Amino acid sequence: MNRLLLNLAVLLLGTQMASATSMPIQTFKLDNGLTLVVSEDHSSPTFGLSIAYHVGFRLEPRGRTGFAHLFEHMMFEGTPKAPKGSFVKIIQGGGGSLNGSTRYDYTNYISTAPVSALEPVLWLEADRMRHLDFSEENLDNQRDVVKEEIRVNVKNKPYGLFFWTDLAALAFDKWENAHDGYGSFVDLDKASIEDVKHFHKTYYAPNNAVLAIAGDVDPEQVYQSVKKYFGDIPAAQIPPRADVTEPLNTKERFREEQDQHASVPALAIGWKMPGPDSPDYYPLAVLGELLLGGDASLLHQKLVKEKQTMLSISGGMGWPLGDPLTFDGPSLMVAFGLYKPKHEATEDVNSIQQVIDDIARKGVASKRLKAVQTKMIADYYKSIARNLKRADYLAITQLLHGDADLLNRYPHLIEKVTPEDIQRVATKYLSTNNRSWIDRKIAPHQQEKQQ
Amino acid sequence: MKPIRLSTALLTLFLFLGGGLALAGKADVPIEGLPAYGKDKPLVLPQVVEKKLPNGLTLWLIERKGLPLVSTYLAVKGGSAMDPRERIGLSDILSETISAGTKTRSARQIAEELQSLGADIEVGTGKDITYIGIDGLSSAADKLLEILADTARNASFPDNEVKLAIENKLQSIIASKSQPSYDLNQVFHHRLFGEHPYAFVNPQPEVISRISRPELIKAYQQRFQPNRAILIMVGDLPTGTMETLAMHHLGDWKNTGATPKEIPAAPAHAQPSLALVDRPHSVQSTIYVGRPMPAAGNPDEFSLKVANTIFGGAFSSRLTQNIREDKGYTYSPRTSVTEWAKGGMFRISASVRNQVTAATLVEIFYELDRLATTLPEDEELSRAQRYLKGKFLLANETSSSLAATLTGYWIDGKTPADLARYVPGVEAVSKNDVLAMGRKYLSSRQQSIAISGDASAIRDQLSLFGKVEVVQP
Repeated sequence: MNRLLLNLAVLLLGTQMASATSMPIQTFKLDNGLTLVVSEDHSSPTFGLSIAYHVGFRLEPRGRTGFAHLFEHMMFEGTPKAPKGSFVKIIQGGGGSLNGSTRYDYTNYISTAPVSALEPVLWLEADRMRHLDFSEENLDNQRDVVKEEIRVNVKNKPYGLFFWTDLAALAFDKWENAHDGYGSFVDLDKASIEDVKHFHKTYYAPNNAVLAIAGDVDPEQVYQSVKKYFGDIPAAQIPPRADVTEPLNTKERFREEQDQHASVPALAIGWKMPGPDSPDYYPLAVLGELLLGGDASLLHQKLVKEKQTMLSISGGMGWPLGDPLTFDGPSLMVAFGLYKPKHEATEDVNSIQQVIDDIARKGVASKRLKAVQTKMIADYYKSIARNLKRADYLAITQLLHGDADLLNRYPHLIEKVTPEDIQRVATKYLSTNNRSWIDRKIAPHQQEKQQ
Repeated sequence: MKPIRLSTALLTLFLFLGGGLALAGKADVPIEGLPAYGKDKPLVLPQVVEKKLPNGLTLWLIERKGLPLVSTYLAVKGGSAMDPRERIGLSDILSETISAGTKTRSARQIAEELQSLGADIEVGTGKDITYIGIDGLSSAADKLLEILADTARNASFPDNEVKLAIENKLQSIIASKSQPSYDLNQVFHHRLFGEHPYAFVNPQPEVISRISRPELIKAYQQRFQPNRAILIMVGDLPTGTMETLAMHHLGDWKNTGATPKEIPAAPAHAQPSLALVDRPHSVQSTIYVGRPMPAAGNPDEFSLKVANTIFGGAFSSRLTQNIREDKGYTYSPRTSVTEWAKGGMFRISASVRNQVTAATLVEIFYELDRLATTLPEDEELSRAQRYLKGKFLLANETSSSLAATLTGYWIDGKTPADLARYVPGVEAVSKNDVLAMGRKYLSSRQQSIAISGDASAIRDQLSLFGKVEVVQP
């Protein structure tokens, strides 16, 4: 058993929940600006790896909505040295799996495998940071794949992710925060090979990335390998980051939509949240869990169990594209659920607001708060039980905050939230004025089918 | 089979990426500078303590040091396939209500108590299994097991909770019906399994609304008996402590003596057909191709796993490379071989734009028949074998995933010793074995096809492949 786990065990087995944990985290920096974070853990002969680049939806070029995500697909299309398909073949041939995803503030490429595959995977990550196979054929192919992805997830699907894309468009004012990260087909069609080259050159540079590895490895050895494979990739001039902060809204926003595929109506509410530099940030994360985390949550109990007017309700801060550890700017506290026909969505929105106003007025019982905190911390440990998730959190927190050690402080940040904090942030942020919501009704042809 | 993880979220979100791969069949040119794989570390298998309590309850216990967590499953034989013929869907309501109140705890008390212990409860059913799973802090193991035992022994099925579960299920059936694959899945299962209990995947609303509390209690008492059950615990706790806790909370659990009727073997032979489920206005066709397969424990298990991996089970498989990477027809084709206690299923699924529905079928048939007529490349075989071995390692990386794996083993009639047979089983598969699987099960002529899509847009294309039956679910 390694040090990390031993410490956690000792701390958690007591009646008090843990605060000062000490997962071993070693950070290295290459001359070209690449940061490497390693967390050694020998409990399984595997590794998790995440390389995160500091560019996401917010920074994609105007008139090119969806470009960051399209670019992510291009990262799997091969390089001058390793032709299309090599990466997947080598990682799967090494017994592992891989993925990539695009989010508001970063794009990450993750892989996990038995440790015997680590060296070739490091080489391949360095290779695609250095250069890509910038061919029209690959771009056209991936443009088609992305469009199919959007058809599957948005156009042909009930609810079509309106609780992400449409809600953000309604609640936010700045283009960076409000535009559709999946992109419009018109914009996707406009993307050119020149755009791809420029984006790679601008953002996919060692000084704009963090590489993190968790698992059955020796940090010093990993550092030597990383130096060997990544060391001669030149740094780039990173453009200054736009100011994406926004004030809270001062007037409620509402929109009614019609869903072509759904047969049960839905609603989604979003309250604007501050970025992670705000002292209100972690109290808001805990408030999100208190209201929306699972069967014990206040809104599930009120709307699904007590009033029985909603079929489901879920959400939280940063939902559905992230969690409190994965944002570098404003997000939304989202509540999304299906409501039963034969009553108006406004009734449910009012009931939800009543639960919140109740907290704002009377606060929360400390026993309830303690249970929520215990659950959040336990869930956090369950998630980092996997090397892959641990590596991913290390890469993202180091990238966004320059501070992978945030992971060791996270339980404490959750634990120290007080009932007064909860009351204060509920009042300040979860107000009617700061609320944007969408009533997603079912289309007439769906209604007819049910009659 | 693996227990199905139930999720409260109705929608999962994949904003995910691509995988590429070189043209299969093309000789691989070595990549200049790419380091080779390192040496495999020896596989360390978990030590499973197997016990049986006097009342017949089986225990599989594993101590795993590390994070202070414990995962437990209490699983019983009998799942949705055991629902009475006139009450198909009973298991759905059963799994919604088992943790909705006991003789001494309300649903809310259970939820809040578990939250304060950092724990989640999950009640689920598969075709042959019903289970209650709890994941939480190992320091709270005693309390967690107490709640687990309470739900397994004393569920009270309060009227208001049963009513709510039925109402919500009716609404969620309406909501699911708008998913392109909902009706399609039912049609596909009927094509494969006829009138066998495995054929029924979508309960009828009028049946659900008639389910009564006494029926739930009867099914609960039939299934939840110690001699039909297993307790699996994996986590940071000595196995001796686990055994003491099991004895304490479940040692005096009594068998009711009820013996539910066992279900017969499912059909395993192919009956090809082409069915179309009309979905007007659909911008995509959702395609299912497949056939019934042998039950768990058949001798072809490992050969089938390898053959499916080469065919379509991984990103680097032939089908993904062909219809996604080469042609751009689809975002994520999937293929799987599923095994249950009394039967199995091979299935390919792909969602494609209307215009390329027929073209996609042509490629699917080509890849199936290629597998049935020519030997795979050495490199394809070894890649598939390494992939499966690595997946096995990664799948059992955490306590909770290992507990889920073992629960699946138990219901399939396997033992913990089968953990040690996995890697050698995969390694023993030869190129000829893969070809044999292609011939025996996978050639295109043996497959049933079911498609959900806009009939007015795709029917003409499909008539090229034979008689198209437009079916109502």
